[in-house]
Amino acid sequence: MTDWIGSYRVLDTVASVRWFVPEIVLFVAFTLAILADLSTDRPGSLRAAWTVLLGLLAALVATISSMGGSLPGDAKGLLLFRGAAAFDPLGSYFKLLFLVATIFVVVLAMRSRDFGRRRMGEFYALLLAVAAGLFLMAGSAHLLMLYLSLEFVSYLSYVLVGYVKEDRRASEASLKYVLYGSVSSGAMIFGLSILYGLTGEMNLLKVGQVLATRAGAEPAILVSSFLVLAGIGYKIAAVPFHFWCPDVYEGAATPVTAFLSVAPKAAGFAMLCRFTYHVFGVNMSPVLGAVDWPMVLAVVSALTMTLGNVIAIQQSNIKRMLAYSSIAHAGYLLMGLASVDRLSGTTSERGFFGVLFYLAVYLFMNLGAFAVVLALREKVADEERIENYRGLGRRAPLLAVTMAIFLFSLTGIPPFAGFVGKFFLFAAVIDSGLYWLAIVGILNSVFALYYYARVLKAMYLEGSTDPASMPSISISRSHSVLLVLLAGPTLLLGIFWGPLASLVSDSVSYLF
Amino acid sequence: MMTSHLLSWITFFPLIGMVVVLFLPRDRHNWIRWTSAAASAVPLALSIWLFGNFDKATTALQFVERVDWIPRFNIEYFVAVDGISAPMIILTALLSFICMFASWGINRMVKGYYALFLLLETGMLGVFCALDFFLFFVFWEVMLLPMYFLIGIWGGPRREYAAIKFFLYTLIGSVLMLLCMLALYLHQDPHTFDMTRLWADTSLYGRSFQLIVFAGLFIAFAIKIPVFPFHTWLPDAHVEAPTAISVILAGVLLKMGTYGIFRVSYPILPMATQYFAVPMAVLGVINIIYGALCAMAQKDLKKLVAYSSISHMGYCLLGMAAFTTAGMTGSLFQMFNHGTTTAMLFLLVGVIYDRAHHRDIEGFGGLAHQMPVYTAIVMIAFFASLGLPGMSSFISEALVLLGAFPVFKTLTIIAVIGIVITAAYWLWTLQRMFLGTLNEKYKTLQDMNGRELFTLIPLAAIVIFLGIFPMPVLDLMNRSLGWVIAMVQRS
Repeated sequence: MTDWIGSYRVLDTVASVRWFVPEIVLFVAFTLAILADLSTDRPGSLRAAWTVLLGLLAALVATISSMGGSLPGDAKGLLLFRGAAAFDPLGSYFKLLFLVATIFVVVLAMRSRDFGRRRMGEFYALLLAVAAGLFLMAGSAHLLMLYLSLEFVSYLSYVLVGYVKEDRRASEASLKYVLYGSVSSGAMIFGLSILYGLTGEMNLLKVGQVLATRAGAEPAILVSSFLVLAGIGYKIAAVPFHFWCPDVYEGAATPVTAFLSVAPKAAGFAMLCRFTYHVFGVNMSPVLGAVDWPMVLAVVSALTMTLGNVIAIQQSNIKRMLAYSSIAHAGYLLMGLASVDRLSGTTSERGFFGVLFYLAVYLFMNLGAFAVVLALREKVADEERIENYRGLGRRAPLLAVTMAIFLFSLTGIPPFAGFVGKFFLFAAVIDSGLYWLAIVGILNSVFALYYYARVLKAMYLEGSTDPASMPSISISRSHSVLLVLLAGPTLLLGIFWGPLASLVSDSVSYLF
Repeated sequence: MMTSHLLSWITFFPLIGMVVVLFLPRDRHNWIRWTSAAASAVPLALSIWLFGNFDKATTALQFVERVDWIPRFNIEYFVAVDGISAPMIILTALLSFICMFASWGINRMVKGYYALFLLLETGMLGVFCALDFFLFFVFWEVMLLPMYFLIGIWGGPRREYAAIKFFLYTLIGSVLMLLCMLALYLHQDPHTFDMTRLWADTSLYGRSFQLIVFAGLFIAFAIKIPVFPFHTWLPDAHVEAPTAISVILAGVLLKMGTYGIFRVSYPILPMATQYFAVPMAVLGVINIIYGALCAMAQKDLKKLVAYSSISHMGYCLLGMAAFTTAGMTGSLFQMFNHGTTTAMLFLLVGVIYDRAHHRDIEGFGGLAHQMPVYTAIVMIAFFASLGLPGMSSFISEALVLLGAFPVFKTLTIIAVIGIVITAAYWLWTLQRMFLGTLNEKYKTLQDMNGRELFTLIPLAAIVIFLGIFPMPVLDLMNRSLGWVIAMVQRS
């Protein structure tokens, strides 16, 4: 007997295992990494790190192989374990992003001096566990899973941020993170429980179906939706749930910051996509008629990008600047979810497309920017102030050129990938008639150039011409390769983005 | 081989040159210079070939190349030329080639300079070749990055400020263009960036849509031209930029604004074009008068030339707002001529700055005896710029005024005052710098050397030749301009 919810097919526990292989691989690798770490007592050994990398690559293979082929019974997607987790193209796409991001971050961490000579095995194992948590977030189609996976990722993130216990900044950051995080998740679980009380259903799709039959706007629905958004908003650092972000980004070790700025943010967007699509998108007008959801998201989007940029301009520490810039980017991404399909009045495929595409691009350019920060840290102590980038164009040409590529891409200037991503987001917004939001986004892009250009200016236009005071910095070969691996896609996807667009399109088109 | 994909070769050859330059050893300055000169000589040769093989009797697009680029979004690599872009391509190739030689004096980070310059050349040529709006936009932006660094690294004392100001201003224009481009794209079914499709049926665009999109595009292009009150980046950028970059900035980049209006706004948005004709003409006249008055007030020779550019670009705007054959022809011809004359002027400013290390007009005097050859060429450039009969600018300005007079009588009369002011400031400058007694400090100034003459003589020849015999260029433009006027008068 098979159950269907909408176009999703529900599988029982045994049948589900087949579609749960990547997660299983990650958990097995996690165990192996812990064991590998115990098998040596040399501090600074990278045994665990290599185990983790292998585990991630295995999960990547498993994920890619699970993406091919059709699902049983021509279902659009599967609901595993009686509806707890979804397996569908949307989730798979996000899982690819998480894996790519985590692989890069593990490599970054292996090269990082942030940790000194301490035992690092647990750290890598934890990274792997976070990746598994992100997988669950991207697939959660169940009120409980939403909450549990989000908490799972949060707890591990607290540990990662505070990993270097002796570092006061890191401990402070971790504490702030915990406090904000608990408040948000508390709000979220309250919202989820209201939603369950109203509908009597736990599965997101069913919740949506029940809500669609209700007439009129119930305050309870609005309250619960707002509370759920608070939880997700905290993960993606949207205004007004962003306060933790700069302190945490500054305090954490750079690889952790890089990871947090990309992977959990993407997972938050995965959740948001599902939530808007299944709960709001089913039939916006009668249920939530009292509140214009797209407008709420549009306002949050506008506030997020503007605030992120305004404060980014005032930063002199590059990690803080990148933190605020990543807040601004969450704002750009929200534009995609604020877009509605003009004909149906529901969530728009174009908007989802824009969000997914931009997240992939953002992964490369943001990790790239942090990789540059890290490469400098490796050579020069405390290289986080922007003025320390003076003369980098002369001192480390490759570093400066790749940084320029990442920054231009973050600004959204052709021929870099960031432009193409922004282009799709703006297209979605204009298509849904939110002209004011498009203009806010555009102004913010110009605004953002100002602070990105400060780094460019420091690298290329400042610094003395006297070579003696500007000794050249040699970057290790592995770091150079890493930077090229990140800068390559940033440039290539700006000129030829067809393949990625096809992948993204396949990941969202089945929903619409 | 190169003639089968002529436009692609023209556009991307400098990029190939850039890659070669990047692989050359950093300290071999002369290798880098000659490689770059060769890399820009090829597009020049090919554009001359294009000029010779251009069919002047048709309005159709020529040398068309179309390849799917991103088929999912109907984005194509679509390049072609017609009578509007052909003169611009020739001008760009010519000035780029000349500027390679004008950059010989750059001694700091030579490799980076030439690499960026070649990238800039590809961007500029691409803008004039592209007929897919998306491609147009990408080229338009590709120009920004090298320009920022070229001003910011090799510029004068306030280069950082000038560079970022230029960058921010232009980016505001670009993003506005992006919005308008998207609006046009989404208005078509199936969505397309193909300009020939965009202007095929303008009944798709409603009245308010046309007005809004036109205004957005106009601001985007006006920043580039630059039109008062969006002009404030220009004097800063010009004063700080190295000589060759000033030449490119004034000679080519400013033309992109007016070219964009010809290429995009006019054919695609005819109704709005007619609606905004008078404001455009008024802005053009403000540019003419305001630019000329500002130029009059300058003490720095380079700033004076920069403001004269603002003034001369006003004629383009006035002429193109009239929709008469004479006005449009004058406008497009003025774009070309201003490119050549202003290039001469900036090169000449560079020559004197290299020798005296300042540009203060008051600080000179009596140079005519000390540097006779220089003075002679300066006279040609000044007179060309003030529109002396027998010089090319005279023809284009006369055509603009002729074409505008029946349409905007009062405005044209005011514009004529601009010519008088222009004559006044050039003659006054001539008097202050070259006549009178020679400043003792400059007893040892050398006259122009061979390389400098090589950059200036061809331009002077073109200016005089087209002043006497403008038909080669006018014939090139004629049919296409008729087509643009017909497009505008459809509404």
